[in-house]
Amino acid sequence: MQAEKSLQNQPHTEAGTSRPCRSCKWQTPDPTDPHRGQCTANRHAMGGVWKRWLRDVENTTCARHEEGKLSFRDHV
Amino acid sequence: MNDIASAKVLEYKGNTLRFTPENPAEATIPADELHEHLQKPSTARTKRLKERCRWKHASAGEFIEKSVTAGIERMRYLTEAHKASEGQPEAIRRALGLANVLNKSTLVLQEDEFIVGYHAEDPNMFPLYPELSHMAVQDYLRSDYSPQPADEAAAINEYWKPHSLQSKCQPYFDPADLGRMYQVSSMEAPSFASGYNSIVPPYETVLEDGLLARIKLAEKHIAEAQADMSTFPWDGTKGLDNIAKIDNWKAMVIACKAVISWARRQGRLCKIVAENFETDPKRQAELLEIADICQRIPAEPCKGLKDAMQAKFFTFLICHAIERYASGYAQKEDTLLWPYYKASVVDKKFQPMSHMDAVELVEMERLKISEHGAGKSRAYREIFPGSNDLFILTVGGTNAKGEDACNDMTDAILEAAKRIRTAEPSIVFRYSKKNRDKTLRWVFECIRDGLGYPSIKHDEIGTEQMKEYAKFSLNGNGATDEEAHNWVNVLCMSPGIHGRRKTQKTRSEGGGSIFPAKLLEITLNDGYDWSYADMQLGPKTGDLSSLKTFEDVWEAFREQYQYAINLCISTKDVSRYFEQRFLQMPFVSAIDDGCMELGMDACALSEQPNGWHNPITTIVAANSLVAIKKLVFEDKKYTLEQLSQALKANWEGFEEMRVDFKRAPKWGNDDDYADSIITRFYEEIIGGEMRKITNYSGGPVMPTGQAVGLYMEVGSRTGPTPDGRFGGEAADDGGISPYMGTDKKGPTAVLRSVSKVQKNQKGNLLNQRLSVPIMRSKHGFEIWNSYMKTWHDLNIDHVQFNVVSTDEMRAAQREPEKHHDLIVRVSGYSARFVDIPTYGQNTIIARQEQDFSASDLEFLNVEL
Amino acid sequence: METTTCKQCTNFFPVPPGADDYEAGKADCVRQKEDEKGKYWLSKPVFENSTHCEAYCAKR
Repeated sequence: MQAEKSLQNQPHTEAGTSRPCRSCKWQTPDPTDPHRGQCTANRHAMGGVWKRWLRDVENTTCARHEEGKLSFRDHV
Repeated sequence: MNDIASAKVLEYKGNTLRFTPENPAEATIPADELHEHLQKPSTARTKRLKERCRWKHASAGEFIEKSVTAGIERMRYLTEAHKASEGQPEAIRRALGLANVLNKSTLVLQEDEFIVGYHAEDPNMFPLYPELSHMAVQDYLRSDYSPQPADEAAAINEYWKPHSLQSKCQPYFDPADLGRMYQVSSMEAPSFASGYNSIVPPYETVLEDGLLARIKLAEKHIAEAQADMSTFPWDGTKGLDNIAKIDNWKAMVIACKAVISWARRQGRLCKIVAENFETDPKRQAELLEIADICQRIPAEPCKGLKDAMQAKFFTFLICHAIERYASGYAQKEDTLLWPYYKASVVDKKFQPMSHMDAVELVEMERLKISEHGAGKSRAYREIFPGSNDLFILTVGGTNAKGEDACNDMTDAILEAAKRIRTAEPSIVFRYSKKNRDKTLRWVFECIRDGLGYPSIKHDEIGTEQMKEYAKFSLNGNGATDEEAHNWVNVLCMSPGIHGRRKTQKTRSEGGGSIFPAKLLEITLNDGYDWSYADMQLGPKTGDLSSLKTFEDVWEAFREQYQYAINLCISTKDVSRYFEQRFLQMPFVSAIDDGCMELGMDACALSEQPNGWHNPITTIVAANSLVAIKKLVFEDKKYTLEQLSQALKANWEGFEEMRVDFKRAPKWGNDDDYADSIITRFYEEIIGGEMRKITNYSGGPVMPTGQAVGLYMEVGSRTGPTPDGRFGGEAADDGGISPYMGTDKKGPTAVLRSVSKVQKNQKGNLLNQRLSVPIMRSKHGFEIWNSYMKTWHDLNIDHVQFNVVSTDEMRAAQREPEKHHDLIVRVSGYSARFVDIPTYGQNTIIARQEQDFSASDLEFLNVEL
Repeated sequence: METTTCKQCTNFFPVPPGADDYEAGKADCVRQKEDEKGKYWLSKPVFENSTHCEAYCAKR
């Protein structure tokens, strides 16, 4: 149960999801390939931003999905 | 909040030292707003120009000012020409492309400016380069900065897909390898995927000869080649060489003519505005003067300082933004402009002016660069947070005779930088003990004002390096001993030749990065990246059970490093192979004496090898190795398996263990245990393995350790590391800088550590943060001057300084709108503090602020 | 119906004979613009018989 909950909190594949990483405020595009992305939702109490690579920003999602866009100040 | 004056009192050589401000007026300025009081533009005009400057800074991939967007004209006219020229020689197609862009694009003239010219159809725009990377343009099409009309831009990008450098190069690599590079976590993406590039334009030929003379030269060579082809008896083994040469010379003629016409069109715009729009007689006269300058140059040789500034700026636009994109602002500006400064300021022979007029010109140049927009890929909009691009010029050093090269133009450049306070362009000062005191004082003034530049490079190290590389010249025409003095930093850190020939023309010679922190992380996971991409990121070098000794870990890392660095350099050379076939640079070729003489394209000709690649995040990897050796293999307090378990948990539940790893010996404290391992790491692996590689130019590739903003990006893509770092925390901020906050033994201990690394390095960036009250005190200059002499004697390649207080940075975080003039040194560049993400701001605050103890002053042998 | 062309526009400045880019009927279209950062001028090549654009302003 704990493992399943943890999985839901991390980006995972869900084909055709209506809450894709692409529209999530924690997502920022991949530095090189526009089909990929980076999740920035993991943030350390000390201010660190621990990114996760997103293979397919249209078909991945997680429980922390929030529509929107963060300011450059909140990214890396 | 602290006062600017330090409360510190120091007993030194029998004296009691107090650190009161050198300028008594500063006693009334609150310390947390000091830098908002330091700008002093030399004229009302430059004050206005700064207030209305169209900054194009990017951070975290986004442009900060809302009006900034991509233009479409360059890509439109380049594409139109490419379609119309099918079947013609490729070099000529490139020249026709440049000519079509220059002939048809919209020109811009702004109020108050004296140096004119722009590279897009609106001053808020920047051009794109679909002929380089279609992925980079695709990213723009999806962004808020997409060129308009978007449909037309998308069609153009689609057209270039089969023709782009990216598509030409990709088939020669395993897609898995490229996928690893594109992530920019263990390796920087290849230039064919990002479009990123750098160059040192041979400005000298434009200023000294003028383009009409270059056209004449090319036409003479064409006539000679054609005569050679009709000479009896025909020799097919040599005669056919003329074909490519003739194409290149013809392309040079087309390019130079187009540039002259474009510059004159710019002059005509000034004249039309003077006669039809402007009502102020003084400005009308000035616009007519600019019109006259643009009519004469760059067609003819420059005669005065205004000519030279304008010719230089036109050349910059073509070489860095119109013919092709290239980052940088590499030039030996004081040497380049000195003859024109002398003609205008000293001899008053042409465009007579005072020294302060020259200072104003430089201030205007700095503001032009500050509003230059770069159509960089997203990676590079992330990598230099707070800046628009890497603009770095070089001054000082020694001349071809080995004498002090500082002159009054050097001082004008430094004074203008201090007065106008812009983050760009950054300045490199080549430090020699022969440099005159007057100029050193200007260097210090800029540094203590918190500009973060000049960054200081060791003059003799750079010169010797040019001599060493010259030995590998493939055509036996590398830099002579005299020419070896003619070096500038190509970008942030690496020396390269400047002048009429032998300069770097493309990124494939030097540039690009490799990230040891991530490589160490995957070394401990059999090449697998569990913390960012969840994929195999390097070769399988053995699971933990196979790493039985420290040497096993060392060798596994070496193998990961060999794989990555080999891939990095081979992708660069493959780029170059296709650049010289499809991305020729006829204008750059026309202004290079070597290309002109030999009829070769600038991407093809290499006379002075200068291979380099940037290890970034080396200290996180090195400190981690030290901690592993001590705690796992010597003290045997933990096993590698326990360490791995703690790292996978981001140290959660392993706090005591994290503290042990955090407290293990660290770089920058003159600690022999740490330093011996780390020195070996730099010399044997980072440099030793890299220099085994030979690049296109026939020379070795050497490490130029630095950081740009990649210490943040790679930090956020790297999980927890055995140096006690949490996952996602920033990595080390320089090539050889201690990790932030871990250099606790004072500034001279840092110098002693750094001086131990001497072999197999091309350059290494050293960031130091110095105390504001001490530097602004009446003892500041003497302490800094002694520090520099010691640094020089220890044979250290580089150093640069932040002189900014934590109070002021915290105040700027609270109220950014009140702190636009607060500039900080990030790594190889400076930026406005408020334009950097909070994550990056915190890394600068966390750097150790170095104080000076009596023993430090004794080591520096300061006389106070 | 009469077609209005660039030639009749106040922003139309013919390229002088002898200029490198001189062509019969070619001109610089020079327009003044202003935004929150200040005034600036744009110059674009046009031909006298080009159909006028949204910035057209008839010569007096």
